[in-house]
Amino acid sequence: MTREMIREMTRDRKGNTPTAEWHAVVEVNQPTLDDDQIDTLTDELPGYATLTHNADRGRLSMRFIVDAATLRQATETALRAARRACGVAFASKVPELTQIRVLPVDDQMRELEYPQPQDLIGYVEIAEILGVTRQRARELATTNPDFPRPLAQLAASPVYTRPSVTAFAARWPRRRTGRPRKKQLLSEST
Amino acid sequence: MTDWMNKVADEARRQGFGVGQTPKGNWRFSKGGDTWTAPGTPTTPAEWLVLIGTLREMGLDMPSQGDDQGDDQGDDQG
Repeated sequence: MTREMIREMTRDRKGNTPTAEWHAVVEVNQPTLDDDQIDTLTDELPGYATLTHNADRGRLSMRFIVDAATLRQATETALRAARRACGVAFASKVPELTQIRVLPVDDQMRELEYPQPQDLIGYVEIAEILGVTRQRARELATTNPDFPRPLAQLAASPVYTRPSVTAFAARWPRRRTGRPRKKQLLSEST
Repeated sequence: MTDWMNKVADEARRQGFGVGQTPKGNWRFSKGGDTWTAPGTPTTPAEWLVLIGTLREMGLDMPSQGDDQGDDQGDDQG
C-alpha cells in the first residue's frame, strides 16, 4: 500500500487530510533582539511561541506548533511562518535561516521524557583531551570566549558534550609559555 | 494561571537569570548573552511542550505545579 493510498483512505468526509500537531524549531542568524522585536515575533508566530537568543553566537531560535497533514507541509508551514514573522520584526533585513527541526508533538513528548544519552564530560576529561592540567582546563572554560557552552551547570561543576570540547581542541591555538622542559631541549639538540 | 510563570520566574532568578516583561507582557529571561522569552502560562499539552522544551534548552528545571504562590510580576516590567 502506497503512502498516497493511506492518505486517501484517511481523508475526512469533506476531502481534507486530517492534520496533526508538529513541534517546530526554526533558527536564524540574528545578532540582536530587543523588546519590540520579541513582542512582534511572539504576535506574528502561530499560537504559543517561545524565543531563545544567544548574543555570542548571534542566533535566534523560534519554537512553536504548526498544524499540518504531513512532515513536508509542516516544514513548509513552519518556514513560512518564521520568515513572515521575521519580515515584520526585522523589517530592514530578513535573517538567514540556519536550522530547522520539525517533529510530531508525540515524538517531542517522548524525547523530553526519554532524552537520548549523550557523552558528557567535566574538567577531568577536558584536561585529558586538551593535554593540560585540570586547573588550566577550568581556566580555559571560564575565560576563553571560544570555549563551548556547558550543557548544564551542576552543583559540583559544569558538564560539556565531548564533541563540543574535541571540536574546540581541534581549533585551539595552543600557546606554550615559560621555559621549555629539559627533556624537550635535549631532543631538540640531537 | 499566571502563578506557574511566577514560579518559573522565581526559579530563573534563583539560577541567576534577570527576569522582566516586555511592553506587551511577554516574559523575558536573560543571563550573560542568553535571552529566552515566553508569552505566559501554556494552556494546551502542545503549548506545554513548547515551554518545557525551552526550559530544558536553557538548563532550567520545571517547577512543580503543586503549590501556588502570589501574583508578583517581573522585576522590570516596562
